[in-house]
This record gives sequence, structure tokens and C-alpha cells, in this order.
Amino acid sequence: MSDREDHELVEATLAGDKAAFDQLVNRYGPKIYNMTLRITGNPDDALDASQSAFLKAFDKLESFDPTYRFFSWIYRIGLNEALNLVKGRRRFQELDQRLEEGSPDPERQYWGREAGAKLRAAILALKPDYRAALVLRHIDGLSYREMGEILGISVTTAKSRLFTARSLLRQRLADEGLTL
Amino acid sequence: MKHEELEQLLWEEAEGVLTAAGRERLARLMDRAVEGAQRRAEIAAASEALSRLPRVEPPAEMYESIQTAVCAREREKERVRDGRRRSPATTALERTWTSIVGAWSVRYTYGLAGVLVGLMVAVVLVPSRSARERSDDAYYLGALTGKAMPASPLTFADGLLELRREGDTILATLAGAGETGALEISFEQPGRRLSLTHRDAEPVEVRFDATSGLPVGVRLASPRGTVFQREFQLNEIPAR
Repeated sequence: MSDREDHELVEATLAGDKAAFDQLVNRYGPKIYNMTLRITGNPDDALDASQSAFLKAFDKLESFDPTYRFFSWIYRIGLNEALNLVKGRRRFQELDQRLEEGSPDPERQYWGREAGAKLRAAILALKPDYRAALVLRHIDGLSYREMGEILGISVTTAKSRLFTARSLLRQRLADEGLTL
Repeated sequence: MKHEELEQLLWEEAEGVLTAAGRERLARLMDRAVEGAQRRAEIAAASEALSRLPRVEPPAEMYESIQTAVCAREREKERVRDGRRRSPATTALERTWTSIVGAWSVRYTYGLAGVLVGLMVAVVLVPSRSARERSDDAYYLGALTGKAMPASPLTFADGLLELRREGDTILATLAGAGETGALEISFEQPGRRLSLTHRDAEPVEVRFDATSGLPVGVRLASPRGTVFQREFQLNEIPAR
């Protein structure tokens, strides 16, 4: 799906075509939901954050600058919603069983199931900003430039934050007898 | 610094984004790095594990609730627009009466009727409201002192709630969940709701990006009951 198509859908939505917005939700819903799930660690919070992100995007669509990618915009809104929830609640919960029921679980091939669970728990134990850096880079595969855009920081800061996040994750996993 | 650079380059290598210059630099650093090969293998495995954390399908209710909320939002906006456009409807009885006694007489009659109804409602409701206030925990923690909200901060028990605004964003500073217990603050607009629980004694700032032109419902609750609940327009909240 190209960005041009995204922009066409945005324009159609602004012209009153609600089905166009549904297409944007279908296109980016899974990505936003997974990101918010990794940040909040809780399916209910992820659902709240994702819904809120899309509604906010719908409300503010007129302010969207078409020179930017729609994905970066909605991703940033979703990330802010998730961080808002996490920082507001300051609590962590175990990931939902649904995460454990992936079939087949790819982590099993590398670290084993238990280690995969420890990896997820270690990510959730990081401070939200570091958690976000790891999720953006290593789980969603965004470039440093995209990370900078979404987090509102420079590329250099994005690299530095990621380095710190990996180091902290490594320390946590070392305590569990794992290497990162 | 060398260690940091080596780690960075190894991660970029594992992710397949290493440039030609980076590759050369990595080769030089690896020649001098003790256990460099082991670290390379560890990072490759870790990068693979991170990138393969399982993806989860969002629940179907996510799409449904977004669609429902978007529709509700559209309807509410239309209703607000229509409400501004339409002039008050005139009934057949009003038209007949107006033709007999003139428009101002009708207005005075409606005004007088309104005052009488208001007095009757006040006589009936005021005692029961007082009785409820005395017994309801909802009022115990500070709802009565919240009459100045959102212009002034609300103080209750050992806590405080202050609302400020930056554009369409409401910034709520909430403090005092210590003795009070966990506090739940929620914001609501048609089709949207944000609810957060604050459990620490430390103050927390909560942001709610509101839609302009629509009323905002704010509710603060503790385990003992509602502390504050009111609906107001965005422009009633003082700007930061």
C-alpha cells in the first residue's frame, strides 16, 4: 500500500467518505494495536489506546500535513496514547494469554518459549521511553529517521536512546541467565 | 566509546542496515575486539528474537467500536450544526395565540410559566437534595467544594485535581492517591472515553485531547465514591 493511497484515503475521509477512514483503520489497525500492546503490556489498554488513537486521528484529520507519511502520523498518535496510559497508571500486567498462544511461537526456535516470555517481561520492565525505542526499532523495524520523527527527537538521540535501552535490557536478561 | 561503537555496528549488521563504511569500520574493530565473534553471534540471535516476537491480531471489537464511535461523532457534530442552524420551531397553538395577542404577550406568558415551574421544582427538590448530600459518599470527599471547577483547583481529602487547557488538550494534574486510595479519573465525549487509575502519592499529569465544540464530561472517583463529576465546555477550562 503506497503513501499516495493513504493520502487519497485521507482526502476522501475529509470529503465525507467514512468508508475511506475504515480502510485506513483496517490497514494500520494491526500495526498500531501490536505496538500499543508492546508498550502497555495489557490487551485492554492496547485496545483503549488504539481506539483512542484512531478517533483522535479522525478528529484531527484536517490538521494532518500530507507532506508526511500517514503511517508516521497515526503511529505517533498511537504511541502517545500508549505512553500516556503507561505513565498515568504506572503499572505492569502480565501479557494476555493470546500472546502465549501464537502458533507456532517463533521465539521458541531461538530462545525457547520460557526465554521468549522473559524477553517480553524484560521489555515491559524498562522505562516507557526505552521500551518505545526498542519497540519502534526492533519490533516494528522503523529506521532511525522514522524513530526520530515519531519520538520527536534527533537521529543521534534515537541511536543513543536505543543503545541505552539495549544495555538495560541486556542487564535485566543477564539477571535471568540470558544473553542479549 | 569503542565498545559502544562496536555494539552499534554489530546491531546494524544484524539488522542488515550496515553501510559499506560501517562494514569496514566494523572489520577493523573486530580485529582488535576480544570475544568479538561471540558478541556478534549473541547480537544476531537477540536481533532475530526481538524481530520475531509474535504479532497479535487485534480483537474484532476494536474495528467495530472505532466505526461506532466515528458514526456517533459524526451524528453529534451534525446535531450541533443543525442546532445552530435551525430557528426554534413554532407550534400551531403558538401561531394562533400570537395572531390574537401579539408576539410579546406569548413570550411573557412563556416566561411567567417558566418561573412558576422553576419555583415548584425548587420546592420539591431542594430538601431531597440536601438529604442526599448528607448521606452520600459522593459528596463526602469534596464534590461540594468543586463548584468552582474547572476554573479553580478542586481539593478533596488529601488530594487535588487541577484542570488546565492547551488548545484542545485538557491537562489534568492529579495528586493525593495516598490516604484516599486509588483515584480514577475519566474524560468523556460522544463516542470517546479515557479512563486512568492513579495509585501513587506522586502527582501525575493526564492529557486528554478533546474535540472542540463538544461538551466534556469529567469524573473523579475514589474507592469511597464519586469525588467530582461535571460536564462542561472546553472554553470553561482556563488556559495554561
